[in-house]
Amino acid sequence: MYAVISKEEKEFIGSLYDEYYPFWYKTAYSMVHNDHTAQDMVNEAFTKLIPKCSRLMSFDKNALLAYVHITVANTCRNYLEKAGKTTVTDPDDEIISNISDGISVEDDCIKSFDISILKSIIMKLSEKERAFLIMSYYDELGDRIISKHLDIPYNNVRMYRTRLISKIRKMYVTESKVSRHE
Amino acid sequence: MSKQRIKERLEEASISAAVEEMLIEQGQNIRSELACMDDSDKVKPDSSHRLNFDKALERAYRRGRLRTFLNSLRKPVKYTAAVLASVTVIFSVSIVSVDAFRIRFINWVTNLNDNYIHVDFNGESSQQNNPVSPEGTLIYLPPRFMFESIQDENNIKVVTYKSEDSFVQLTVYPINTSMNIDTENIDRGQSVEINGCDGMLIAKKGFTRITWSNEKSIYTLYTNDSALTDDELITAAESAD
Repeated sequence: MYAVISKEEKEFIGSLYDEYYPFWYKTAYSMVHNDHTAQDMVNEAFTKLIPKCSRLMSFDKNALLAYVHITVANTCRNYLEKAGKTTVTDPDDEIISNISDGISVEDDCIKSFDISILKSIIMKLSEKERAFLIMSYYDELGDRIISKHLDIPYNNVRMYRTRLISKIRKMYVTESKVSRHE
Repeated sequence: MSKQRIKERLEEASISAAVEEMLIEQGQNIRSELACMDDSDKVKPDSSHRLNFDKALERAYRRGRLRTFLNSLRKPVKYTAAVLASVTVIFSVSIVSVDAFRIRFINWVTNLNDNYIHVDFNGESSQQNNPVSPEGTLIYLPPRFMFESIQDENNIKVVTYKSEDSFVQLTVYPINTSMNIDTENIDRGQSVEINGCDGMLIAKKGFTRITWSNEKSIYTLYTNDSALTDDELITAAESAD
């Protein structure tokens, strides 16, 4: 995909890069532990963000910063996985895999919603799962793009989503009970 | 929409809202973390990385400008193409269905062809403005005459030039052709020399004919224009190619 931006978008992404660079760099460095690679990762993450520029401009400023942060972290994670410097399977992914496929969606839909509980659950998820949720439910990206960004085989994206939602439902039930007791 | 689908939608909406809240909260944390950073922690990209990023931005920006420009062209190009297509269709239909228009068009194309040939032979046609035949059979043409037609059958070539109701006709026969020249009741007759070859000029009943031959062919130059002088006819005959 070729990136195409207007002058305003160019200035916007340029200022996002410059203004918060120390934080992007810190995020990348904390994962790759190398100055040059960390800078490469920030550039790669921003290169991925350039085509989405017009959409990013419509984000809430705080949400935008978190989104860029997650993109940088995700770029680093992909790099480390490809370089064989970390385990490809996230421990939390193992949890997802262990959830039975046979769960009936009808029985397991969350009946009532407490956003703050859901938020705390999302914060407990792995970086990759959070990135998946953000891309699916905030950025509203298609499965093919998500599979590219997160390095998940395209055919597994739907399954990944189903299992992740099941995991959230289970965690929600547990968390709700805990909060009721409190 | 089924109850199950409504529940799923509600669930998706709740997750979206939670994700958004989480993002906003994270963003606030990033801001406060950045505010607390020491100056020493506030690193800047090195020049090569900054340059690479600037290049990527510039590329995207240039593509953006190019796309804007192409988009601005799209509308006029569409209109122009539509107009050209309409004109072509109307023109084609007219040529096919309207006789007068078709004849005019064919005449126009023929004129173009004539003009082209005229230019092609202009260098050799000396003083005269008259166009000559495509084969250049007569390089010199008496004034007012224009190429009319050429026929080539059984190795006999007949080239006709016209001027209003007068004509000049050159006929070229193969050398082995036997010919009879009618000299009965002629107005006048004389021997002539055409390009070193013997020939005969005969005038009879308002028609003048020069007949001569060389090693390859027998030629006859024939006219009904009594205003043409013998010299003009001889000059034309000598220019026969």
